[in-house]
Amino acid sequence: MRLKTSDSLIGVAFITPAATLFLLLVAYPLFQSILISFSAINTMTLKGHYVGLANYLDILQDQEFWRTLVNTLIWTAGSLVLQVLLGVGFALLLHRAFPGRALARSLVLFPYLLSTAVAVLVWRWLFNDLYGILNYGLVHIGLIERPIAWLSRMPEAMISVILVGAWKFFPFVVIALLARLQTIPLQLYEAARIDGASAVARFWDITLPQLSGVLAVVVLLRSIWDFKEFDLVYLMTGGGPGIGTQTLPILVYREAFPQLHLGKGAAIAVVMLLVMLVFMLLYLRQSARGDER
Amino acid sequence: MVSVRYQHLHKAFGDGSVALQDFSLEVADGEFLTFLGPSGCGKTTTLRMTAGLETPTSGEIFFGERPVVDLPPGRRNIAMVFQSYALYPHMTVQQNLEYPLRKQGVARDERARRATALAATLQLDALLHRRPKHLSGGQQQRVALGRALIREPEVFLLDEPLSNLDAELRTQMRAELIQLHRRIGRTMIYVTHDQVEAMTMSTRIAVMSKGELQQVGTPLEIYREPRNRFVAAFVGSPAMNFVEGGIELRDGRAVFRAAGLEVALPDARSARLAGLARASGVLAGIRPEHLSLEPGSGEGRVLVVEAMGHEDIVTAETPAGRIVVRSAGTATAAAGDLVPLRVDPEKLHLFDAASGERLAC
Ligand SMILES: Nc1ncnc2c1ncn2[C@@H]1O[C@H](COP(=O)(O)OP(=O)(O)OP(=O)(O)O)[C@@H](O)[C@H]1O
Ligand SMILES: [Mg+2]
Repeated sequence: MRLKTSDSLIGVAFITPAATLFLLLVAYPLFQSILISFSAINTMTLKGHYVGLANYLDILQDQEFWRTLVNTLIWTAGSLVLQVLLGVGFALLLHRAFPGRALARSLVLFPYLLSTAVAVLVWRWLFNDLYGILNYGLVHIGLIERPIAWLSRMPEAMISVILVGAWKFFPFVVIALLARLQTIPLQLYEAARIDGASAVARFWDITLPQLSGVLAVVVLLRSIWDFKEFDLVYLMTGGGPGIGTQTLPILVYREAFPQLHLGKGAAIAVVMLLVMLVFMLLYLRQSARGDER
Repeated sequence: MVSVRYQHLHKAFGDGSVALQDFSLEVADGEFLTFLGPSGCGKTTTLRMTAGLETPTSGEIFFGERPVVDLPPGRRNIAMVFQSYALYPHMTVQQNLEYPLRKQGVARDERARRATALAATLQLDALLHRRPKHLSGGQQQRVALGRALIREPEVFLLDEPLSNLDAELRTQMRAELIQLHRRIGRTMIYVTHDQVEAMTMSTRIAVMSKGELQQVGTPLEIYREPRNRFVAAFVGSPAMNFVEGGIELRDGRAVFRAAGLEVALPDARSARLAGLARASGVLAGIRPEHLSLEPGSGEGRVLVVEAMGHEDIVTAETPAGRIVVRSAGTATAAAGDLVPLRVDPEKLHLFDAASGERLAC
């Protein structure tokens, strides 16, 4: 169908506010960051000059950058895998009928809704080597002999951050999967039972394939979000011990603010952006495929 | 091959609703038996209990001599075709067909061979690599049937498998199902609320109402000798006319009498009816096809004439109530006419008006 001129004008009128906001709030800062990443700029004075690819070459030769990238991947993959496992598990549990299910369904959201600062405060207290309840419990049941300094030793610090990340974000996976689970026709399971499929077979043959579309979207979204997660990691360990749990967003922050290398910080951010762009494209492809289905 | 026997089956749901009461019936080996009844009468529930998807509150189900109530669906050697087909949406037609075999541990080659062979007989060969949502309703229906057939089960359960098809396809699939049953000769239990399906396909029909079995018999038995008013009214189209009146004896002959309507019964029936004579409380059931627009029993004023081409469906108002007549021919009457009515006395059904049970005659 061809649009009449007045119709297209109305269309333009509707889209203008959103487009303006997008340009002001997304495109302009993005463009600025990219511009800054080609300059040497002092964060305080904002004075500097064009240096071409120098910041990027600097990053590529920087041991700390590579180490941080690996940390970021470990954190992202580790917490993502746990989030998905916990998410699938809890979604399946909460999908079954049991007394108090409505309450359990709201309780499971709790970690996701809690402010990161508060959550981290609580977890740091639990993990504390001197008075933390975790050490107390583990010593008490005899799993360890003396308290462990969870947040100031490697790999314990990374493990702790990953565990807390998984705890904080798995409810997102639960909600998404639970919504999908409720739309799977029960008759598919009945047909499978008649066809002789065991409970485990029904999970693999029906539940999982039916969840796969949502699961792919959830995994892609969560990997983007985990990859750029700052508050949780920074508040838990500050990136330490040393740079043991330092992830890219923390490195960006450190370069740009304490070190005042705004240009280099921006360059790292742009590299992050490129990595996330890959996930974005995968995500777009997946959701396009979902629409088609 | 097995028979299926229901023994005092009873099913109540958690919310207290009773879906089935004291249901006893034997489905003979190789029979095509249909559960027929209005919506909510418990047909699906009975079928689901046969499949093992639902557990009876009490009573037993036997396959041959084997009690099956405690067996899970997968161990009953049954197949079921669902009204919604319940095809696995993420699997291709071939994978759908092979699934029951895969769960039985049949080897890959053997599976493929059987699926291909079956697909050919069901005219699905060109569609083996499609997903269900890219199939038409009729094709999906065939795949569902194929998935049931492939494991060669002892008992087939079909829950309104044709109800989602258009009229033409339904007629065609009806014929195919009849042929299929003849070819494989397995026990089939079929659920429908469509009496045409029940009449045309079944060896026997079990008519149900409100969770209770009303009558079991061949389609002709059900049609000719409905055991009670419910069965009489449910089977037949247009539905049977009911007229309330009494039976009186006149010169040793039984006569059914209602306002403005008299039918003298034939001698053979008269003798048996002698003891049942009473002034009222008798319900006569007259099928529209057993009435004609000829003098003999009474008369009525025509309200509507529906011309079907080869016959007219004439609705007439009589002192005894509205009466529908199937009148062979064209333009047999016009609205407003006063027409004579004749009831075929051989075909008159008599019921007790209070209990609805058929009077023994
Ligand atoms: N899971 C359930 N929980 C409660 N009541 C149920 C359940 N399933 C069926 N019923 C009730 O049992 C009765 C019989 O239902 P059933 O599905 O067997 O009817 P049906 O004869 O198959 O009807 P239809 O022709 O509409 O499919 C109905 O009154 C229904 O409301
Ligand atoms: Mg039903």
